[in-house]
Amino acid sequence: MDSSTLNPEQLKHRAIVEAKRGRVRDENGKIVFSKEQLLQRQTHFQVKLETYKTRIENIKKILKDIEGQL
Amino acid sequence: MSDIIFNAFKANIMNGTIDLDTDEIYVMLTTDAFTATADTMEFVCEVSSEVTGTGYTAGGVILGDAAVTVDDTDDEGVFDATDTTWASSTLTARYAVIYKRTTETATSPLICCIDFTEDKSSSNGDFKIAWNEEGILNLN
Repeated sequence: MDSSTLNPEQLKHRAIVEAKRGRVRDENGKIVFSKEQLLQRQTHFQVKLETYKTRIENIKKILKDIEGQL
Repeated sequence: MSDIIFNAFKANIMNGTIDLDTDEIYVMLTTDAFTATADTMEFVCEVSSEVTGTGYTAGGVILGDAAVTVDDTDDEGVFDATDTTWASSTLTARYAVIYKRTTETATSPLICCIDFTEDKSSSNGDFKIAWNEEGILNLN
């Protein structure tokens, strides 16, 4: 016996609402990204790599400052 | 008990301890014996009454295709993922607990607890969490 937290009617409603927001799932509920969304994600994570480099530098400065106050 | 967002998560999302689209975000199941407390619980080791059953491994499973998007219709940020399925399982669960997995349960921060509003059961079949159309979490 299978179990789902949403019934068939709720799943239908979800598909309509999500479609309006540009979100699509396959029949198993897996999110399917469009090519445009994949390109956006690619850019997002490339930027994030740079963001983390900056954060690491900022953290080093904060730690150095703390050490100076101890 | 209704859905709960743990207070510690609110701070963790602000200070970067949790990064929803790059950290390993897991979902685990508990029975109705579990009581989530937003203002005192912080880590997975504090979660009790985890489900046991065929097809379920302690700690739960990772959320697939986790993504954070902007919803300009409702003016909110949305965290969502692929639906989670425990295939060929026999189990009963009332709550789903979302958390960031680290190397230890004592350092794995809690995010939220989702109430199915009633026990959900599978018997040698799929136990599927179909996430809400509003996403797993949204910030508005």
